[in-house]
Amino acid sequence: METQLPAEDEEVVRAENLRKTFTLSRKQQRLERTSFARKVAVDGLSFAAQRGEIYGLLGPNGAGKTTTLRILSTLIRPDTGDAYVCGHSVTREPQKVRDAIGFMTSELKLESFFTPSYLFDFFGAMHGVEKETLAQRKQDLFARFGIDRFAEVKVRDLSTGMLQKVSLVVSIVHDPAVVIFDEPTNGLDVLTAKVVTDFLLELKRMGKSILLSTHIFSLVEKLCDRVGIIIDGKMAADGKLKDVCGEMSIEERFFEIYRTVRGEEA
Amino acid sequence: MNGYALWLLTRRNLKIFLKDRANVFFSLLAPLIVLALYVLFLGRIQEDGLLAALEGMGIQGGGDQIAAFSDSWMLAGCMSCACITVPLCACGIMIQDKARGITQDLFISPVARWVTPAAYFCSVVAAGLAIGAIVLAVCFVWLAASGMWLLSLPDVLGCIGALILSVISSSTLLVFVVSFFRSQGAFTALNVILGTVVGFLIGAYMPITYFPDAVQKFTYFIPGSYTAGLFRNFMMRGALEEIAQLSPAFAEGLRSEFSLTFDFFGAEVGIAAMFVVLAAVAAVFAGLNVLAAVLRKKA
Repeated sequence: METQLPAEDEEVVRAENLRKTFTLSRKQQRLERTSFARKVAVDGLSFAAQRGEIYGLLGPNGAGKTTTLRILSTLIRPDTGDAYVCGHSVTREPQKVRDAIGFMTSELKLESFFTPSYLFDFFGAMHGVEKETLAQRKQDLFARFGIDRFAEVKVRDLSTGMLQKVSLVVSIVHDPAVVIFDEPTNGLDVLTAKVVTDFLLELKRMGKSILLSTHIFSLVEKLCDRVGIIIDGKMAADGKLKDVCGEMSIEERFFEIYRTVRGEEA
Repeated sequence: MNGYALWLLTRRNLKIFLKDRANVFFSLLAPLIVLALYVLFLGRIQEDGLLAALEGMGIQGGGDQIAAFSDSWMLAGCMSCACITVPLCACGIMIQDKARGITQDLFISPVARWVTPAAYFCSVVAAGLAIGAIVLAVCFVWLAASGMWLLSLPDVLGCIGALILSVISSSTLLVFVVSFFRSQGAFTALNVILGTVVGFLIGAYMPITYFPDAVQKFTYFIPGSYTAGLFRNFMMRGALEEIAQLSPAFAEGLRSEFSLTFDFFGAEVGIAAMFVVLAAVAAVFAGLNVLAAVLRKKA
């Protein structure tokens, strides 16, 4: 089931005034050091990501990046506002949105006694990919990312880098137009992190649109065409990387914006 | 598409459960403990006690009948434990997937939301039935090999029916309870506690009538007690009839002492009522599972 790619320069993801609040348990209130029972995670967030580009949501922990990505992935519903992926509403057409996206995190989610080949076939069947198409995609993707020699090796016998590749390839089994990646290199060693960043650049070359969240400045500079800076659930700056940063580095620009928004040093 | 996805997910969950040999072993730990205790000393104590009681009534012999009765009682206890502990261990996949974020991946696939929880339930039932059928076959082989096969065809069919209904009933209850768990630690705690006490609560180690009155009344509110009651009725009926030929009064005493029927606050609970109770438990918790899924989706 291949998803129709939007035309050149078309918005593939558009978030409109997203707002999401969560109820905090007493324990969460203690951890957050607040007496309020509700927390606004995302507060009127709007942005757009274009076809064939990598869009980075940059912000400190707790800024609302993951919540935004989870809304876009249809895992949670926004309280107000809506978002569109390839023209489909996340609130009204969640199944169509799920057809169009691949959602990834840096966590490995593979059962140790299955093989990459089995996992690819399983998730392909779950996404309704035709058998012939699935076999062809497996051959192409496994060869492209060097998994072909390990296709029938049990997951528990693979190296960490290879595991990460398998996990990533399985996430795009259905050839999604948009790839959503929450904290791509979080907690990874440098070698595995490189596997992930190379993979994302390869996906971009394949014409995929990528939306990622991160708090790592170098990752934004290395990968992103556009960036949205989120602070306290609000979009503080949004646009092409060079337009947002001007002559400054992304790190300098981020802290300048942070001081302006919060009125305090980070 | 949703039906095929349900089949795929159920098969995947079942594979994960069955491929983890340690998990399968631990799911049978409670029945194995019942078996070990019985072989080591409980069987001997029970047989000696019953023979002494029979002799006290002036009846000589009956050793084979008492042995058949004791073995059947122990095997009924093993079966009843397996009908609870196997589905419980199979529920572990729900927690494992939640903890590792796999549930999230499954929810993002373009299948209806109900498919993932439904597949967990189906795989828990399938695991319970598959392992339960093997345990039941082992019980039958045990009885036949030791020359104590006293079951009729209706008894065998009754055992199969009790297995199916008990597994469905305990699966609906356990899937509902485990769906509220988030961490592996909490689930392991439940597994250890239930695995330890289940043998006592359903009267697998010793008859429930040996417990204080309040504890006995408490056990009547545990669905597993009705599972054990059904298996005892079908597995022990033949042996009890043989004993009845020696002494009808003694056999009648054993029937109530070993909980083949319950006195539920004055009302006698027989086989039909036990089936109804288990079916009602399955229906109530199936409804609660659906309600919880709807509320979670809304939340």
